[in-house]
Amino acid sequence: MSAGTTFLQDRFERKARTINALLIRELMARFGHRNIGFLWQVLEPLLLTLGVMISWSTVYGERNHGVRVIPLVLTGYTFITVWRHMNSRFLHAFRHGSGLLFHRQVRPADILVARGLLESVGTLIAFFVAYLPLRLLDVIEPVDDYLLLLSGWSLLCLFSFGVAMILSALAHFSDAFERVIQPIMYLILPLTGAFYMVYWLPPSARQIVMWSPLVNASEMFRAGYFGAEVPTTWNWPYLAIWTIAVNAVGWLLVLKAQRHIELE
Amino acid sequence: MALPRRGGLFQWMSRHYALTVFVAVFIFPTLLASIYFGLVASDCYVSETQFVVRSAQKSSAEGAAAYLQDIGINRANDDAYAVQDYIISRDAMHAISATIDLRKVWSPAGADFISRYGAGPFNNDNDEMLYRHYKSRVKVEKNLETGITTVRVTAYRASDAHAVAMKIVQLSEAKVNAMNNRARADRLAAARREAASAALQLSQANVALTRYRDSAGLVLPEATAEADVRQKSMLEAERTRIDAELAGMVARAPGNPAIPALRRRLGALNREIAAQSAKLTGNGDALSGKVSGYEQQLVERELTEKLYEAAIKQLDTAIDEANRQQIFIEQITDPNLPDTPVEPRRLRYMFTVALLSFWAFLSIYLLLSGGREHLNMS
Repeated sequence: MSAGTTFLQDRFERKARTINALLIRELMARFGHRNIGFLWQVLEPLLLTLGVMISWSTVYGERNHGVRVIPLVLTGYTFITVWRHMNSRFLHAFRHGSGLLFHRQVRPADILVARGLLESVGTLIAFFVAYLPLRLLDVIEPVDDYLLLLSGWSLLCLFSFGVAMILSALAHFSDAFERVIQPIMYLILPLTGAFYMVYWLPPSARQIVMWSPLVNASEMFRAGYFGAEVPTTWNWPYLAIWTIAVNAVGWLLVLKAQRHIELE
Repeated sequence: MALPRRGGLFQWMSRHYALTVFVAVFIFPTLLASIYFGLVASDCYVSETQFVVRSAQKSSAEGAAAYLQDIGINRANDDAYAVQDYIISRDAMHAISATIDLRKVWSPAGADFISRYGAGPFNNDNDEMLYRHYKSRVKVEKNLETGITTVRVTAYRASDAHAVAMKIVQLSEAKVNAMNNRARADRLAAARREAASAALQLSQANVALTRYRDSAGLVLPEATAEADVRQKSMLEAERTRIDAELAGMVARAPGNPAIPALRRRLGALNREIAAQSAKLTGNGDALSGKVSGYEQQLVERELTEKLYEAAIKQLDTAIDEANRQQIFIEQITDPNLPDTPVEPRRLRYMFTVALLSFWAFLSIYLLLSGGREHLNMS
């Protein structure tokens, strides 16, 4: 019994150390030691969000369809950033990370976990780095419900992680897939729900977009931000089932790809 | 490492920074929240009420469009925001305080020391602090889609929450009525002012007309002119007749003794006609000038009459509209008297703190690791 516990503990600790090391390596590999280094991880999405915030504010004024524009952009771009970054980062993860596989402890899946963590946490930091000063200057309203906001965010990150795993494995097996996936990702942007609120749509369109798990996540994220002031609809069990499903499929595919790599 | 030696603890913390951050940012706040929400926090009751602010508006469209629109009772959006702002105002708070002691409501004996009013060492008891507390206890939310406004009042006793909510409903209604009366009075006053000034103009025009008649020495200049013209034409006919008679007489019997008499008569007639013409059309005191002046006055009076009529009509519609164009509060649900405390939502708040502090831990950990690696500190 105790031997079993220590064995598990040992494994867990080793895994944590590996992923931690990969996380830091990823940070350094991407941004280097020069100038502000890894803070680019935060600054990149921040710049995008601020830019869009300014341009949308000039186009729509303070409110768009009765929803404040600045928080709308802040939530929307935070949302879209994690989804797009995770997918594009994972696409070449196996090829870029192949050098690491000389280390006996590093498995391809570990690289994905490290990258996923980095994207999720980095983007959330960017969100708060934008949120706090705007809040202190009283430009935006406070977050209404952190539980909803962060649950929506966590589910979004896990869902994106699952989808990104599937994409990375498929990209490993098929070069053609790797080519077509970028335009496809671009085309399904409307299905992410980042640029609109569901209640703006006519009822028939609402039913269609609510099939998209990402729309559920974005509505949940915004429900957490705006509270009852803005009407939102979401179905978290539906989103959770999707998340579990894509993660299960993703893990299977990644394990398969992993074996394929190790055989080479 | 060039860190100052401050015992083993600091070094230990630096070496095990992951664990330190984990405990400080995740375990500690979560534990505190669990203790507070699980054991300390007092139960609170929430009384809720919902209403819509509506306005019955008269449409300005005419014909069929008016018929279609006329029955419409619209949601008064701006007015709903006004009511919402009023509820969360110092005015409303003071008005409630007149009958309910809000300080007692939010700091009764037995309320926990964190959530109650006046908790903490820096909280003085004054109206501004009470207002801050009031804003945290009375929540107003307006749904963008349905326009329904929801008011939630939280208090430690069910009856208190209910009483405050009832009072808020009363006050909102009083406010809406006051707004109506004000708008009505404004609208009516403007229309009445307009009508009064039109009436004044009309009477001035009448006075001017009378004065003109007096100064001209005529009652009805047109009738006078007509009589004068008739007289003049009669005279002219007489002259023509005498002229013909004279010519005939001179031709038949030039020695007739009546001739000089006729000639004198003709001369007199000519003088009379010339005088009559001068009276009618000559310059200076002639009647034609008087008639045109009189007509101008008449037109002016007619104009002011029309203006007066329009102003009276406007006043009528203003009264009509003031009676119709009112905003009113339609109560959807009356404040309930809660039988179970629903606040604080203990488990939910614990989870909130746990989730928030977990993401905070991840963020701080990432920043710290990145920073340490950047400075080559690992």
